[in-house]
Amino acid sequence: MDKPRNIEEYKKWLKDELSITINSRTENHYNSIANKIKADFLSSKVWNDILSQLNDYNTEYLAKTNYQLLVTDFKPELVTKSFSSFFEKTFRKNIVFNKNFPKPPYNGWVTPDNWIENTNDILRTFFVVKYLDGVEFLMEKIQNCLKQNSLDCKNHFEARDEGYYAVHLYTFNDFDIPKIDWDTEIKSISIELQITTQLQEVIGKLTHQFYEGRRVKLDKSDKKWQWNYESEEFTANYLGHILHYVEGMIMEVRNKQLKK
Amino acid sequence: MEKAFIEYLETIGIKGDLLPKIENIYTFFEKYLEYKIENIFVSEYINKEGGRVYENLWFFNSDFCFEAKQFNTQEDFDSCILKHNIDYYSIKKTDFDIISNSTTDNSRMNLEFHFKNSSIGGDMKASRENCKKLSEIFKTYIKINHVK
Repeated sequence: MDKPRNIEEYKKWLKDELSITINSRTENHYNSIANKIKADFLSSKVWNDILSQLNDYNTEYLAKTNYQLLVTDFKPELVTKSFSSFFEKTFRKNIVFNKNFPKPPYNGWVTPDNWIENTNDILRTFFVVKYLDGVEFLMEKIQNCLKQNSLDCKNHFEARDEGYYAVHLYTFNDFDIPKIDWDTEIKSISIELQITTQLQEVIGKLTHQFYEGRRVKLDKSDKKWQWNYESEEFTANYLGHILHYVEGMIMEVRNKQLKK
Repeated sequence: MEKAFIEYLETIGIKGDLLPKIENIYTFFEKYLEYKIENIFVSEYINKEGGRVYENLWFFNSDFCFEAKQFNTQEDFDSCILKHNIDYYSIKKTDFDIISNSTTDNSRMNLEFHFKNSSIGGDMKASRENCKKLSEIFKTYIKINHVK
């Protein structure tokens, strides 16, 4: 069969080539797992430690810099990935980014048997800080908190062409999740903790839709968005880069004032 | 909500904040959407610690079924025609004598069904004494509508 070009073709390809049917039961099972992960993480010691220490992090940063770390009344929320977004991610892994197609990708096909542990952001949360240096400051604090709870974590300093800047922390937890019939099983699942600045949060909401749209396109031969100055993504994405630069400048001015 | 519904919910350990939540969902289907509600079912499973985890809430009448997905955290409702509209079902069970309708602590049941000409269907889990309720739901609303 030809390489699937969209989600509908991908569903048919999964059925024809891998004998996998995607239906409301698949979605129901995914939602049940996502919901369980969220409920368990919400009541976990590590999450409650992070929440209870946010104020201390803010106080420490304020003492060090004379500026607030967090935006007023900030409280992070846990958000589960929707099934459509989750399924689209498997499309990208199996098809769009699979250079071996029609053979499996380097790590094998992503199928219902392994797709939960192969997805690192089924549950994610967002921390919003006021200044650029607050991103790394908070990252280190959260990393320490994770270590104190005996949890490993990895960090990624995201800087995308689309003007997206943030730190993504990934921590692995064991969760007791439902199987499709009735049993449960323990799986190690990654949680994504994003840390970004207030300005990047605003621009991120604008640019994310363009990023989402482009990454499922198979045909990448279109004129690059960087040359299409009339497109919406041109303005929104470059705004992301400009704001990141401006935030760097703000830090420089702030540090100069501190030295005086 | 009918007394029998509350009694059923109590037998599967639903109490506290969850009861008024279910009452609200019942009111949504019964008063706001103006459907007659004849029966209720809560899909659930047992976790490793032996506690019940509630998933989806179902209501039925002879013509329709109604689902509140992940009802303890979300407000996501749908409805589908049931009457003569089932083209596939599958029952999986363990340690549940469905003929004599007797359950143990290890009883588990899973009912999957599909609506005609659709990728939509239902998926219900039951543990312990809730298997009896799922068996009743199957015979009253699913089996009867599995027709040519």
